Amino acid sequence: MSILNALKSRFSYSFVYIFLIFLLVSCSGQNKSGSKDAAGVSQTETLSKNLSAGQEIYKKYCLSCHQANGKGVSGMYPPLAGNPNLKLSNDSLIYIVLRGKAGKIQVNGNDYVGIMAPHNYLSDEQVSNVLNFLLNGLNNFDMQVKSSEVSQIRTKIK
Amino acid sequence: MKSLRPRSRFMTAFLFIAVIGLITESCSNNKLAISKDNGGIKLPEGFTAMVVADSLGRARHITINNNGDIYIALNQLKHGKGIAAIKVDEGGKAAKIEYFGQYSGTGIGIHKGYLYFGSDTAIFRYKLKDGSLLPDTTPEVIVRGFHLEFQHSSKPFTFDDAGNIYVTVGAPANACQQPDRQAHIKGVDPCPLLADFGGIWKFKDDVQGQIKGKDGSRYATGIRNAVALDWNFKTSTLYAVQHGRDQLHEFWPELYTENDGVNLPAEEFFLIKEGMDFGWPYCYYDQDKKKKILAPEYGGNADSAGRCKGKQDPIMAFPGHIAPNCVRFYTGTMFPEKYQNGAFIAFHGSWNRAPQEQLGFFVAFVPFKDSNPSGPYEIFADGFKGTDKVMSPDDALHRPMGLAIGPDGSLYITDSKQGKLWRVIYKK
Repeated sequence: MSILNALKSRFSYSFVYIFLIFLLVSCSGQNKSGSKDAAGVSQTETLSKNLSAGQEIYKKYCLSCHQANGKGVSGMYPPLAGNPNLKLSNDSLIYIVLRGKAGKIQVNGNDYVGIMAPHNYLSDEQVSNVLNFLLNGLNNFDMQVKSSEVSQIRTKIK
Repeated sequence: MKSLRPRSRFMTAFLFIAVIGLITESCSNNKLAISKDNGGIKLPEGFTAMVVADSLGRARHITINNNGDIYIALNQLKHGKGIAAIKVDEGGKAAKIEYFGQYSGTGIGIHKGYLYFGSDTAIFRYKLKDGSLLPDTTPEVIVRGFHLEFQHSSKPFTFDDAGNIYVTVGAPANACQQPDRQAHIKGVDPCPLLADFGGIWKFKDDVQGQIKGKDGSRYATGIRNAVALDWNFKTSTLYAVQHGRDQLHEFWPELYTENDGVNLPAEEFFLIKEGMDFGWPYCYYDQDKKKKILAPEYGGNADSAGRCKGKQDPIMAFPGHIAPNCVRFYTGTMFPEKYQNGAFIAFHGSWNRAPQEQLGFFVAFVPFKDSNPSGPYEIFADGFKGTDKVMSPDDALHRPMGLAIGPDGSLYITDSKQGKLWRVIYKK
């Protein structure tokens, strides 16, 4: 259970981080129209809400291989926590979730050989939520994936 | 002639001393650099251990030459090489470590003067050279043509005494679903993978250039993946320990609780005769119900046996997911009688018990009488994980992986995590 607690604390750390950003944005960025969508909800606020939804998706579909702490399994399943490859691009992350991945990859100098099933049965919103959890819950990469991006790539795959 | 006498007397004396020296050395392990704490592992009363080497790389299986030279397969290249070769000093510690071979892999063994090695797609061998730690590094291919796969791709092997090599060809799937590893996907029926995978294949041990699919034959089927296999020369029988299927709860939550998914199915110990079928992917073994169960991918309800009647049962069942990665029958004489002809099994430790605690990370011993276990298994060597609870396998300090019996009867244990190598000795 301690790992779950660690995960929770990492999650709450991210939550604080996001909350601070939210404060910054709300203090200094009031006139930045890009930070609010049509309904007037700040993107960071949406993200923090969706992190918990993303964590639930992670627990159900990702945890068994990538582990509760996101550190993966040596030689088989790559880590998602502390994996700089995640910063490559939103598109590559979406492709991996939708199409799966097989073969050998290297993360932080370690080889991983394994297979990940396609997760194309997840909705656009579920995919963006879980990716946002990886980026901002398991890591602090300050990146955000929108469900519209998932939707675009899903069309390309079909 | 007279002038030779003092020299021959000297030689006789020298030989006498040398022989006494050898006898003394072989009768005691005093010179071995035994670790006070057994190198961090726990052993039964009367046993002790030393650390031969550390930081060798991602160690897999291990073999030891009659002269004590040690060879370890690595599943990630180290310094660009896939095999670690170790010469030890008289204290048993690594005096020289060299790396060679251009492929990573799991299987390794010495046979008929050659070092055999299994990369994930071929079995090849290097000719051993007298007086040299490194063999002739030009490989001879024994079997090629194994498909390049990304799960259960290791090629462990063992030899009999009738000119054959037995190679595990793991199934590139969890339960023959298409697509693989998704919830509520039925298994393909009949499973087409069984023609090429999911069993043990038999080839000639001494014929170069054999091709999987053309040469050799399938010796046994219905084996998902058996990284652990060994020939028992006393009974002339093949044995293997299977990694059972994963994710019963994740994919079939209406049939299996989280606890069921963590505990089931058993890791199965097989006695293998030619032509046997152990049931994968249609069946798995439930260690609590003590029977084969029809897999949910093939219409099973977590209880009925269905078409699994007639599939071969294991000779012993271990807890789920603890990853048996090596089995070695004890052929030495150093250990007490109880251990002789019994089986040591290295359990690498689980990943598929999350979110619960991960288990395994020990070396078990199974006593044998003739062909079958004569009692329950016991944990022989433990403490590898270096912590109380492992929630994720990478939290373990060490993961026991490969086993070998040395020429003096010592048991060697490799670690895939830090590349540590232990030698276990029985104190007389």
